Amino acid sequence: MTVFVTQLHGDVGEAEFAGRRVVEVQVAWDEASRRRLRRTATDGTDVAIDVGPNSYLADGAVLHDDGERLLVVARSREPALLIRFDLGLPGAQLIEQATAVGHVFGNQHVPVDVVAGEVRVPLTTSEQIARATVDSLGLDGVTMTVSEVALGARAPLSVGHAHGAPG
Amino acid sequence: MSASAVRIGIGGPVGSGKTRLIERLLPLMSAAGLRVAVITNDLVTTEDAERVQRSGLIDPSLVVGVETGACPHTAIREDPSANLDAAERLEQDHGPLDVIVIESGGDNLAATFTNELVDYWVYVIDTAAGDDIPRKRRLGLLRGDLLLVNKIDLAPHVGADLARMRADVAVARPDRPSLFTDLTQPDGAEAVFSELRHAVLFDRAPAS
Repeated sequence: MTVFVTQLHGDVGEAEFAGRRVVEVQVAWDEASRRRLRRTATDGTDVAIDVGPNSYLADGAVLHDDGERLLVVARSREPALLIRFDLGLPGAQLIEQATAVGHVFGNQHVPVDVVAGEVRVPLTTSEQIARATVDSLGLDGVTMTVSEVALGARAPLSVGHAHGAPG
Repeated sequence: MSASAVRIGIGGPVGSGKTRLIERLLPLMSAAGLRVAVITNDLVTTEDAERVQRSGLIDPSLVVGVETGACPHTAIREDPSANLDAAERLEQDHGPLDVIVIESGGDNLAATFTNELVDYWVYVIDTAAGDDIPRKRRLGLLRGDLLLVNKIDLAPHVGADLARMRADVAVARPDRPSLFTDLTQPDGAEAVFSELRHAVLFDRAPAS
């Protein structure tokens, strides 16, 4: 049987959902702002999501509640390059560094996620190339690791630039 | 529930078979009772739109050509306003519509569709363009909802190793569907339509 989802019901952490059995529906970062999506939940339930525009399938969003079981969005964990800056540097230098990192990945049309001051870049190339992209900027104090993380857990990743945009 | 038509994007490099895919899908969608419109993108012509309009497969008034005048990926990702406007006009003038197919201009392997524009997108590559394309693993191939490897009939003529391509695609896209096909065959798009019916049309009868 297919569960049709036409609206989101809040976040799994809210009090009204306490005690429910939680079944996850995996949604990747690039699918989270879709208005239509079909997935299979971890218990095998067929889920057809049609929530209209301006919805965001955040990690923890409740898709369905039948009083006993919740179908909940779980953001897939995917490999990403995690970039951290030396927060002891002068503010102007940090702004310059962050702008350079955003610009260089924007030129590759790769969106980025920023969480607690850490820039997270989905790995769309090899780790070596992704690291080299940042290394090429010659930024002081920047450290990088690669890890599997839940990108875009609460909001969409930033998108790249528009060619020929004014200013 | 969404009141507007389901929007399906078709992207991929120049000559990969995007327009041919549309031509194969239109009779299948019509037979399923779906009311379909098509938007095609080209840099400075409307040649693809004219081809579909002449095909006899669809009412020509339901086909719109958008001249993007810039890198094609801009019109389907960074600034989809021209395509969004075209979709809105089609719905206003010809609604209700069940499906709007949006074909991007031929672009590079990094081209992707924004979710603001489409509900689902197919990425089409050409077997004869190189059997190493799946190993290059750019965004279009990695993130498309459906990867369509077209022109498999040409593999022996260009020395393309299809078995290798299948293996590479499986590694690049372990969790997303991929199909290998020859769209010159009348049934070349049936598996594609089956996938669309399940994944984004939700196997439902048309609203119109």
